[in-house]
Amino acid sequence: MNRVFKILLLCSVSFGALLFSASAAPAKKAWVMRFDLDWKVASGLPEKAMLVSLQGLANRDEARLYIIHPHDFQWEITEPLYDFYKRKHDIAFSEISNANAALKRFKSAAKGYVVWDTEVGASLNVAFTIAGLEDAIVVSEDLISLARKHGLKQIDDLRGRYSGQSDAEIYSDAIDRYWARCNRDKIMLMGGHRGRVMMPAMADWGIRERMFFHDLSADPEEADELVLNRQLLEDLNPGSIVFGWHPYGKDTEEQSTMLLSTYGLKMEGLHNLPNLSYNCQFEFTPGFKFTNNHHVALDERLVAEEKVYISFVQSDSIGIGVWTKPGRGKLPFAWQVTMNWTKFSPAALEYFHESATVNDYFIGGLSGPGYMYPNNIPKERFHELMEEAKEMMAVLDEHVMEIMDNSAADGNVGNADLFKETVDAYYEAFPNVLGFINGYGPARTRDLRDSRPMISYDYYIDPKRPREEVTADLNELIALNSKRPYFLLVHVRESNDVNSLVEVVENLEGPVEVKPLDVFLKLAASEKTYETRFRQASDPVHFKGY
Amino acid sequence: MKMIILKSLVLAFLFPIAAFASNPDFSGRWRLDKERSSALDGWTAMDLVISQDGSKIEIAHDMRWRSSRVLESNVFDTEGPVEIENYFRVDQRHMAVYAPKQSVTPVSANWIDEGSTLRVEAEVPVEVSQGTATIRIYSEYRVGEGGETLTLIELHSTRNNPLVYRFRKLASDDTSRP
Repeated sequence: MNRVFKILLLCSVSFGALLFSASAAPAKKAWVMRFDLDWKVASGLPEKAMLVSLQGLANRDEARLYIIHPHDFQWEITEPLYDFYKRKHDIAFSEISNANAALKRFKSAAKGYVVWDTEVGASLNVAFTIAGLEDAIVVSEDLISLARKHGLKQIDDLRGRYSGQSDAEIYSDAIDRYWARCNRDKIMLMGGHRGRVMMPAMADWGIRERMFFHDLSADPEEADELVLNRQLLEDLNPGSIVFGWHPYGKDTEEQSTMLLSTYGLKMEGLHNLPNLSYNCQFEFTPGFKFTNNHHVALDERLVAEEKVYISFVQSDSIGIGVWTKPGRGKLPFAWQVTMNWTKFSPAALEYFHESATVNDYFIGGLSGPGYMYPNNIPKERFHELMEEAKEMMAVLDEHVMEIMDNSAADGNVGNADLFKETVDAYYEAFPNVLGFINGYGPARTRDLRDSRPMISYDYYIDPKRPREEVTADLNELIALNSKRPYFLLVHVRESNDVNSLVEVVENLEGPVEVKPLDVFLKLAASEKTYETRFRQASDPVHFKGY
Repeated sequence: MKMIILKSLVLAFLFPIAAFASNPDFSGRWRLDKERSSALDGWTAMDLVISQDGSKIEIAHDMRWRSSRVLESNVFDTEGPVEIENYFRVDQRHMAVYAPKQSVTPVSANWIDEGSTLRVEAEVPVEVSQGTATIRIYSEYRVGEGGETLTLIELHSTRNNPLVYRFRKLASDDTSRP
């Protein structure tokens, strides 16, 4: 009897602990640091690398350290999101002014330090991998004394270990040493900026999650790196996520994304996306539910008039876009939401939602439950991935899926089209969406099945293009597409501002109306003046693939 | 007397044609002055390479976009209209306006302004989201005094703003490429 009681007691304690850990609210007390924009290896990077590694460890069990970046950092939302945490989650932040104070506060989260070699860029990624596995902070030679001052012991020293070695040799060694112990659901492609400037602001997340860090190339011309890159991707579990970004100058975004798509994996960038180790520990505030600004019901029918209908879409992940720039709300805008943030950055999504105007409309993407190139997703993985995407779209109350496959494109120009089989697969997988949009730069995949149109971008606004030329370009498209109605879908590249687009719209010629994307698609469903087209085998391709 | 007048008229008529069958100042490699030109879109650099053979003028477009390089030529004849397969136009590549497969473009070219300007008119078929359309492109290539600058003014039947591209001539031993 006594034994039975003990077992019951143990079970109830264990269950209680499990329940507690599953629903534990984030700590109400946290710390914040402010970074500047100096990410040079020769000056600002070493300290920042140390601090983001410390952040990853400090946030491993609790959300304790948050970093605010300047307004002109690529991810411009860190300050607004900081305010959101204070306001909606009642977090009381204390400011930490310098690295010494940060170490003093959080040194207990680290078991020691690992020294990276500032002469060998890839050694920083190896150090990050070790940091995650061994609970270490990463330090350059100059920061060793600071780490020691706080009682931290050396765990490893990479100085000289990789001197004169190629990146393939370095990562081959790192795979041998560490890969077996790393997370197989997530990997960190810590690429992006290379050389004199590196910007590994996402390293906190990789360290917290004990990921393998690398910046191996996906370019077939770098065969020694590609073979290792493939080895890592093959070893990941199905449905895994590749965090980070491709290494600039080694390969292209198109190659990198195409490669991981061929394994059915998802990409979440960028390499400098900060604070995921903090953000991931929050849930939506109690009672919060996404309600999108729908302008039309899913089953509603609209009839297009003899007009030019324009719709604007911003797709470069909401947080690096024009969200915080002046003028948002003056025009109907669709925003492609990074849907995976429902899993690891829900507060950011809630922040966007609560600050949305009636003219801001959210759509799903890119291509699925992460950034992927669907022409290259293995058929046997497509259905499961899109089921995941649909679940997230349901949470986010989204009715439109945005698709992008740049595997044959050359940046934001060239072939961004979908094969017919790919289009077929989307129509089958998403019976209840209002429609699909496609492209990044302009594209020419178009279709209409039942009431669901698939429309590609007819225009991409380069933020550097003079506005009078943008106006002339749009007017030329309106002239060339002379049937009415004409459906002109426009992709607004990140860092454009809405105010300048208001001026562009005012100078368009003809019976032009700017419509929210859902209305635009409903109108496009009512009269098909666009030609059905899919990617053809004879269409030009920039990268022939693997 | 009548015959003399007739011969004189014929000569007077023919002389300018003979005189302006070509203009050597045009020949050579010309580099776009981006600061003084209409903004390229989807291209980062452009050279024109002009060569002349009697009444035939070849204009090669040496285009650069990031690491990609495109080299495409159009050959005109100032003696009469020609039809050019896959005519190359300096396109705004962020517009969904595509060259159709196997297209033929009627083109006429002639010298005007006493040979200082090459005028080219082309009716260029394009593919847009509503099907096919045609852009009538009127171009003037004007060589500046001294032969060191070239201005290309391009008018589209579908665009109210002219596109103006200004070039400077590269030395014959300049082997740089865009």
